[in-house]
Amino acid sequence: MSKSYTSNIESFKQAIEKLEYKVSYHNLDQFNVLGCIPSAVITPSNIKELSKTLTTANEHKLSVSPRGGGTKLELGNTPDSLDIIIDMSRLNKILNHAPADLTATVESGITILNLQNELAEHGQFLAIDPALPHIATVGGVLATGIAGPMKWQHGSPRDTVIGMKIVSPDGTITKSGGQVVKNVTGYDMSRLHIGGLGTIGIIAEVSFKLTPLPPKQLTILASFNSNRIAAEVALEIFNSNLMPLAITVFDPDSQDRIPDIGMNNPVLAIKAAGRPATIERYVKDSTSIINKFGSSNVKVLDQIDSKPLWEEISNFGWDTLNSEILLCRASVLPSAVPNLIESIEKFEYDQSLIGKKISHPAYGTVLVEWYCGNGPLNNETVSTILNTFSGLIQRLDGSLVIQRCPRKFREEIDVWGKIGSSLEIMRRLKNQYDPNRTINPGRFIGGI
Amino acid sequence: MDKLTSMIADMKLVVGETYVIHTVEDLLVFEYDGSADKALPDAVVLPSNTTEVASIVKIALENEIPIIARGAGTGLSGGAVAKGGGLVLSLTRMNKILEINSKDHMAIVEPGVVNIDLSHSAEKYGLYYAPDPSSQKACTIGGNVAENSGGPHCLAYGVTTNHILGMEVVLSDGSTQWLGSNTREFQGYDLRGIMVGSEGTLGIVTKIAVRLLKKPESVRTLLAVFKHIEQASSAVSGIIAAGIVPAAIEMMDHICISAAEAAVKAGYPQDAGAILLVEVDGLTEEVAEETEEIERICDNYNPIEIRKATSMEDREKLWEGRKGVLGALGRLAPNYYLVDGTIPRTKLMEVLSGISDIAKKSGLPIANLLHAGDGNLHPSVLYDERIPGQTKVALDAGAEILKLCVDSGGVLSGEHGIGLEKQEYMPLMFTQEDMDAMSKLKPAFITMDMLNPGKIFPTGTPHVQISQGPAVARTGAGAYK
Ligand SMILES: Cc1cc2nc3c(=O)[nH]c(=O)nc-3n(C[C@H](O)[C@H](O)[C@H](O)COP(=O)(O)OP(=O)(O)OC[C@H]3O[C@@H](n4cnc5c(N)ncnc54)[C@H](O)[C@@H]3O)c2cc1C
Repeated sequence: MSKSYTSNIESFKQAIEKLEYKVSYHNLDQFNVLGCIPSAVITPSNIKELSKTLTTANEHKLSVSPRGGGTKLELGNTPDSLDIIIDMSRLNKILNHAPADLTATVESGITILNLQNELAEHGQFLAIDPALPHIATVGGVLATGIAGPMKWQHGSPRDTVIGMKIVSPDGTITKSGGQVVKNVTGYDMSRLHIGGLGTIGIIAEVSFKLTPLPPKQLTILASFNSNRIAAEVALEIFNSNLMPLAITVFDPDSQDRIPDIGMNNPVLAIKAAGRPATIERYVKDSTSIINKFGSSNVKVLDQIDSKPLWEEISNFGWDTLNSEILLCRASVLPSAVPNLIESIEKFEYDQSLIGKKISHPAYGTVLVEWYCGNGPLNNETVSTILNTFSGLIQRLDGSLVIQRCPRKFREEIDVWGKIGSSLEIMRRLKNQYDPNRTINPGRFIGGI
Repeated sequence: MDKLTSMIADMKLVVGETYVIHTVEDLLVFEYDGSADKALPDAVVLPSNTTEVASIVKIALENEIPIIARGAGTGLSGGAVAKGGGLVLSLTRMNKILEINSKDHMAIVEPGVVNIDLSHSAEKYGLYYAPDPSSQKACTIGGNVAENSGGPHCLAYGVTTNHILGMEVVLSDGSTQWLGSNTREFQGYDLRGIMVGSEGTLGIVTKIAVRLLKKPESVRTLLAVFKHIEQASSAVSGIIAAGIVPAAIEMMDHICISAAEAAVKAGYPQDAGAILLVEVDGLTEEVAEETEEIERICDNYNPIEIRKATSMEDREKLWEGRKGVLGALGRLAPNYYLVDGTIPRTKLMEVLSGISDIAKKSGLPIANLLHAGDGNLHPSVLYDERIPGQTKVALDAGAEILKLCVDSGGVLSGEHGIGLEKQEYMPLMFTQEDMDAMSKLKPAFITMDMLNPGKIFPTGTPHVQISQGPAVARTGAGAYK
């Protein structure tokens, strides 16, 4: 640690202490980001304090990392540097909920669950179902852009945001969008921040468009002899007239956290919503498609009974503190999913890898979790194995992101995978909005 | 040889003699778009593929002449007008549907493809392209991407940005990039999402990967006629409160109704104060359940009449009045100024009454046509540009309406974009810091301010020219269907 650095942090501390914010210098290691331990944790209680914290940090040339619920800190590269954690947990208010307009504006530190609970009282919900909603915050979910199984019908988190207030690295507060559901006034700036891993600015407030809670909801489950067939059936549903909320394939045998549903073989889960006759139609048509593919093991769960199942599907890969996990997300065209699943199974067999898989075929997503405690994945092999794996996905015109990766492998691999020439635009964007590389330096794609 | 002449010669080498337009008579057609702003470009070039676009962009850069991308020219905010001259790059020759991937519900198209043509081509696979601006028989997908266009059916299915997977763009330096992906997920910043709605100021879009949706198995349209607009408005709130998001909820006030009646004889009752057009689609059971409920809700507000239709022809009849209304307004006045603000749905009555005050004050009738479901208003100020001073009165009334929208928690534009038309009003919504943050996108896309310069952001000079009449004349009545 250089001397000038030490004096920077000291004078920052003095400057910030004058501001009477909640500052903490204790238990800092629990705020580590991939092993980097901050020198201070600041917990602003409103957007002004947030702005002031950033201005001060920026002036002192210190690097800052915003923290929501801390559920997805493993996503991305190890930070190039980390001085201050900005804990967003006190920016947790619902600023406005207009049920009749189906819109809400919230501070970004609110947890998804708290928001959903409030909305549910008015028969509405935010159409995203990410992992660990009781801990994950709106800001964190948007910054990572990782959605749950419902994304097929309702789109990614990008599609629910109608406006944002952002605090720039120098503390400037800017807004974009608005609080109405249809708006093309000015550039759609929120796009930069959603999925941008907090590298452009800190998301302080968000306006959402909401969805009415469906009158009735149920889940149709069927088991098949292979994951591949289950995925093919999922695509058959995708191509039918049905538009379920979610279609997911998983293998209960390999999943310790998925609640027991009394099925052992690969399972297809279809979440349907609507009024009674509509729901009945879902059951009827899904069952006949399932039967056509040779399965007669069909089960229907009501909303309450299926809730734990969908929660675990959302949580897949994120609900364990085990740091020996390699979590991969492959994105391909829907029609490539059955082949991809089969190739992954063969690949796992060839490499003697033990894994868990879950896929959302209609969205083209396959998630794979490999355990690397004492198996074939080690420092010598990991990059070769992942190269082969990523080649397999590229042959299907898809892309691969390593969402979680044991620290010991981080030197060997690029978790973000390949990206084309547009990386240059992305670098210039970072440079435009955060020239001092104050927030989350190095964490994003291409070391941005 | 002057600079322009030599540039024209260079461009002819790239695209061929016929596809560079430079005589004043020929340029006149490119003088305006659907808005009223007019400006004569220095030249127009019509490339036929991405490589040609890239070469043209390089030539323009060498000659330091700005480029204005242009689709069908139906834009209503002056986006395709070569303010201050420049080179208009028309993408209408790039109109091929390159691929329809029916298995994955997506297509790759060139930017000049006309919106409705894509849905027609996808029909045989049981698919369609959801965003449906009323100009869909004329406007291009490239123009839709640039404006992030909406349409009546965007209530349930979202606007253009929700349907774009990725795109190929040519940047100001002539480099070509693919932004986004063909798949639903991708890595890095959402450059694709930034490009959508950027009004041709960040790059030239040369290919677009779009999502297609399955054609619904059942569609039902319901037309409810009310004596008072308050009743229609309450019915809209009632539908939303019941947790129903129909595919479309459109509303017309009595001025629109009488214009439509005179033009298409839709058979609306004489004393109708407002009409609601609600469309529900999806599974047969779903459509039946939802229309039943919508009908019950409308019944609560004393409708004069409710009509329903399921067959294609009958539905077309119900839509006829709505779709013909812009053309029909021409019967009431030679010109109209169509405003495009969005407000929170719950402020509808308040804003409509404000608009009626503005109409009284200005002495000009204002017809209200609204995408009521999402609060997107299209008040149309009727006027006659031949009467000295009236254009200004109409323009001022429009500005007041926009101000009213913003004051009610709404925004300047729901779907038509800012362009030249509304650039001076941007400060009503945004601070200088907000706009500075937006402008920083330009250097990241290395635009060197050569792409559609002088648009979107305020210049400090008042906007004077206005008349959307020509757009109506040129796109023809069919454009509204
Ligand atoms: C009668 C009528 C009804 C309308 N109804 C609706 C409606 O319901 N909903 C709605 O949203 N709009 C509507 N519009 C507005 C207009 O049709 C849309 O904005 C449409 O998307 C414009 O498409 P265009 O091809 O005509 O684009 P143009 O007008 O030619 O251009 C519009 C903008 O896009 C840019 N641009 C065009 N092509 C490209 C490209 N390839 N790359 C980069 N930039 C490009 C231009 O520079 C310009 O800024 C209507 C217009 C009319 C005249």
